[in-house]
Amino acid sequence: MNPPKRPGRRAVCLLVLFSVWWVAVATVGFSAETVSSEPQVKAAFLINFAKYADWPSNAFEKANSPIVLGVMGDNKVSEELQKVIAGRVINGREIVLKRANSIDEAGACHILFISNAEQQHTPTVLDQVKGHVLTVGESPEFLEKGGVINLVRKDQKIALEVNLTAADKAQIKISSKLLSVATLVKGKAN
Amino acid sequence: MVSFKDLSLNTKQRLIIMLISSISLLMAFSAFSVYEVISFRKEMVRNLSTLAEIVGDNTSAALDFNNSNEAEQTLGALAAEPGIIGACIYRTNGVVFASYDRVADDIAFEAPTLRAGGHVFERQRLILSRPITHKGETIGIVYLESDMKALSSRLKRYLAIVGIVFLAAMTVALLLSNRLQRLVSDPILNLAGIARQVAVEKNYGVRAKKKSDDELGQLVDGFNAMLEQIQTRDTALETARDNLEKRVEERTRELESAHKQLMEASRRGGMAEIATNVLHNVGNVLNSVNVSTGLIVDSVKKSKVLSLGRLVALLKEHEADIGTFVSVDPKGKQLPAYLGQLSEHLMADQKSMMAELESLRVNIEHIKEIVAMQQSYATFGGVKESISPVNLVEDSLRMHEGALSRHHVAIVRQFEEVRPINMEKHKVLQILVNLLRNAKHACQETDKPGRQVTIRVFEESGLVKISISDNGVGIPQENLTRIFNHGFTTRKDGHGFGLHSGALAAKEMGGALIARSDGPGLGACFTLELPAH
Repeated sequence: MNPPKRPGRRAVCLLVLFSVWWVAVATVGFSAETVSSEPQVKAAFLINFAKYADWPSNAFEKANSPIVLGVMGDNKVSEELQKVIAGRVINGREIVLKRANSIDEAGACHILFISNAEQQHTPTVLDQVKGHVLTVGESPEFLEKGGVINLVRKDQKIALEVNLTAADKAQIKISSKLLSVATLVKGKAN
Repeated sequence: MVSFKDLSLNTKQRLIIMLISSISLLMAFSAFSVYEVISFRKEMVRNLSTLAEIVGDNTSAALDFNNSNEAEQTLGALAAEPGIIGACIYRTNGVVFASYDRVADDIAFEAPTLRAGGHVFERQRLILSRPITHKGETIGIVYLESDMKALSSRLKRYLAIVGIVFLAAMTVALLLSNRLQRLVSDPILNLAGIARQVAVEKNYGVRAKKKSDDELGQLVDGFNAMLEQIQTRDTALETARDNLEKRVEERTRELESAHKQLMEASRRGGMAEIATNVLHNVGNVLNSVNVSTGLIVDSVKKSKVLSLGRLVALLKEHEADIGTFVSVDPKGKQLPAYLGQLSEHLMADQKSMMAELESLRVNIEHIKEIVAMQQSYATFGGVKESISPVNLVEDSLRMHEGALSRHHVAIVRQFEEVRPINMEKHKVLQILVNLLRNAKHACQETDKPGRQVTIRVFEESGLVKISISDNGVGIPQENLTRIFNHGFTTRKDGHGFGLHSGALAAKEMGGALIARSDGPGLGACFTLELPAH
């Protein structure tokens, strides 16, 4: 940067320095208390999927019927979900958390998270679950097995993989916005 | 430097028109410029808001799914908008999620502190922030910073257009003003031209042409009416002047004839004076003649001729005895002695009478001379002849001879050899007689002894000069200047005409009459200057 010559420049410099300082402090402070754990991130993602997916109208009983988010397996994620889900309203619909312990229960969900803990049941669940369910998994071959969205670890971050064929089959339209931050993977059409 | 009020009417009008049109144009242009700036700012805000919305929309997924790379990529698309200096996206908690810095500038963009939504113009920038909402949820804030280069370049373009339009408008205004101002200025200039023509040529017959019925038309009417009046007055004046000329001519003629009459009168007066002098002189001589005649009569009365008769009768009585009577008679004896005495007496008588008769003859001769001289001057005037100035002086002296000697005024003659003059004799003589008489009077009025009049005849610078100076009362300084005025006199019986006519006559003859005096009691000197023949 050029040495400050004009008062305007000096002001800009001060502002920039201040900003840098502020950003540094803020980041440090923020990261100290809110460095997101994997379950936290995944919980946030799961809720956010509700915003980027369009279910057919017959997936809901009424116009203001809640979106049902079901979790199969992992307790940590459902714990985090429990913390943040209260009061979330997406597109005029409440979002409610349920445990999905059976295929039937899973089929009643709009979003179904199958954790790694249920890895061995995954193919079965994916094969058998009917209806308009956005299935989200976290195992390496989730999409190949017929899942719609897979959460994968990539560069210290959680990345998204989407199987559009599976989404089509469930008659769920995935927003292009979500696709822009996701990797498309061809998988089993379930 | 010519000041505005001295400029010609045309230039003034043109300047005023140009000034007004340029002021109105500039006002219109400034109003448009202000409007332009305001509307452009609004447009900028609108555009930037739209951009912020698009950016927010496009980065909502990235925010939701924590993909700042994607967000940065989306922001990177802002490179297509050259005005954007920098941009950034915050999470709702104020943490910078992604940022963009324009590559093509040297200003490092750092995401500033999060501020409230809205826009602000500062430091030649437009700063705008908008919340990012998706499906009813606010998930972040987009912040955009744009420079104002678009505005300034637009303003520059605008100014260029304004300049061109201004020039064009002014050209049109100039052309129009050239044409339209004639409506006003042509009649005025025409009027001014006619006024100039009137002033220079003094021609009041010209008229200004009336072209309209407005105030200018009234002005032209008024001007023409004025000219009409002037012309009328001019004519009246001219008539008056002509009349005056005629009257002056008449008066001049009258004056000339009066002058002639006066001259004639003066000539006659001069002649009368000469005649008076002559008669005076003749009278003087006649006195002597009278005395001589009386003496002769007396001597004839007392003559012894009677005694001689008585002697003859006695002798006749004694005729017979003459011898006896002479020798014997006592009476007869005395006879020879008596005869001797008688003859002596008769001889003496004859001698004295002869002397008286001689004197008588001389006097009569003198009278003859005087009369002859008078006759020689009394001949009609107008004939010039060559005269000797000295002779003229002598003649004039002769005319005053008696009076001068009577008043014991001594005459000193200082005559030099001079050329003759070619003049009318009587005119010069009249002047000299007049001057001599004045000199005599001047001497008479003083009690000083040794009254004396000096007459000089000499030539100086081609002029014959005759100066007559006296040692009489002199002339005060104040009178010297008006001594030649008509009617000026210091004598009780004077008529104030002599010197006046003398000076006039001298001038008429090509000479001059000059008076000089050192003051009262110091005498005076009059010099008659005449051109030599």
